Amino acid sequence: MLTRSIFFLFMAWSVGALTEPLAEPLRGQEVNSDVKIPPPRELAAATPAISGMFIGASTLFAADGQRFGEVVTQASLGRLSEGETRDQLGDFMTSLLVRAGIVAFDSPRAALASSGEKSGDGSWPAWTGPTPMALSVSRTGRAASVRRR
Amino acid sequence: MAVLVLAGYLLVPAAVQAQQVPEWLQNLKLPNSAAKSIMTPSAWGAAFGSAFLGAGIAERTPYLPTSDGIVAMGYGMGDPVLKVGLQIGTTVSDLSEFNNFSFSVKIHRYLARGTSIAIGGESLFSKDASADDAGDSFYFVMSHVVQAFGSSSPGIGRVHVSAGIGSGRFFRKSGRDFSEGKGRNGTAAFGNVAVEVARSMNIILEWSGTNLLTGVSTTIQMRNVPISLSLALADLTSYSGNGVRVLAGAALAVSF
Repeated sequence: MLTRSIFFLFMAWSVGALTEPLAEPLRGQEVNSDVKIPPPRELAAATPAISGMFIGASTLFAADGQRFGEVVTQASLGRLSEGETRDQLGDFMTSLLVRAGIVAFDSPRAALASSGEKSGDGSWPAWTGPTPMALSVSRTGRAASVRRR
Repeated sequence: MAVLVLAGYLLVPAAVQAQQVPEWLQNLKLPNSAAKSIMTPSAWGAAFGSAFLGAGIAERTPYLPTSDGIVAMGYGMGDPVLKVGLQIGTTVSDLSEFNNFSFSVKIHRYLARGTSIAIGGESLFSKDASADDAGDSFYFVMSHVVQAFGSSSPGIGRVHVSAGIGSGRFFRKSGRDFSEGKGRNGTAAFGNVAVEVARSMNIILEWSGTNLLTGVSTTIQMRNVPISLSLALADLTSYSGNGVRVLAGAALAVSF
């Protein structure tokens, strides 16, 4: 992958460098001098998002492997709620564990059903928990899966 | 007796066993918390529960002695691991007048083995396209953390690479570049390499589609709020612009 990436970057640079002399060397077309090029947008826009996303992974996953293992064990046994797990492992790592089938949480719909809360028109309220777009696995399904293994 | 044993076996639920962390997960290398690019997008983005605020400044605008700045804020939605993540941002690119706003959007998805992909748009709905980069810019990018070498522990040589292709500012040079005989178009392809040289600190080398950049970025934690600080040199080649410029940026993120 690294080799391919380097090759890709080199090819991109080569294409640009080789075709530069072919570009029309037009001059004298004075344009508005107040032409701006991209300000350091990525510095401002994307960096913190990445930082926030990987707090859990960076601080727990490798730096404190023993604690990471303990949290995963507790979560896999169902002793931690989804919120507690996400607080301790971070959203990204928690979702990764869910996708790998290592931990599972009650589905939002099941939780709402057990709570008995209904909106005025009789429908269940919209789920607004930590993973509104996440695929949740019921604990029953997880237990069955564990037994199969 | 046998009936009782059989009944007990059938009626008592099986104990749920703790799941071991598989070896592939223990060895998985994920991105660190420092910036991995300077002006090009990466395929990592914000997800549900995070918002960010940042500012960047360029020591001068190309062909002009005046400085240039930008303020951006945004938030994330969705889950890039289980479904898709959506990052929405607002940018103020004219700090003196504070009247040129634009929007950015990025849809990102984590694939596997430290790889993520994203598509997005920047400078959308800008009032003044010439004041906000090259107008609408759309891109596709793939990011990867090299798994073959380096350590999964922070601060030990993780290598992040991104490669993508885009329109707008990734492809079009400025009108002044054109008038200076530097051509109308860049490469459209962009990419960056960020090497972790210390804990939460990356050295970055980047091709923006129109020029080469390099920089260093680090993230510090203050009461669980990550603050990212970056310093970079832009326009390292004569492919566009009129000389090297200094860029700086700071940003913070909050989780809710």
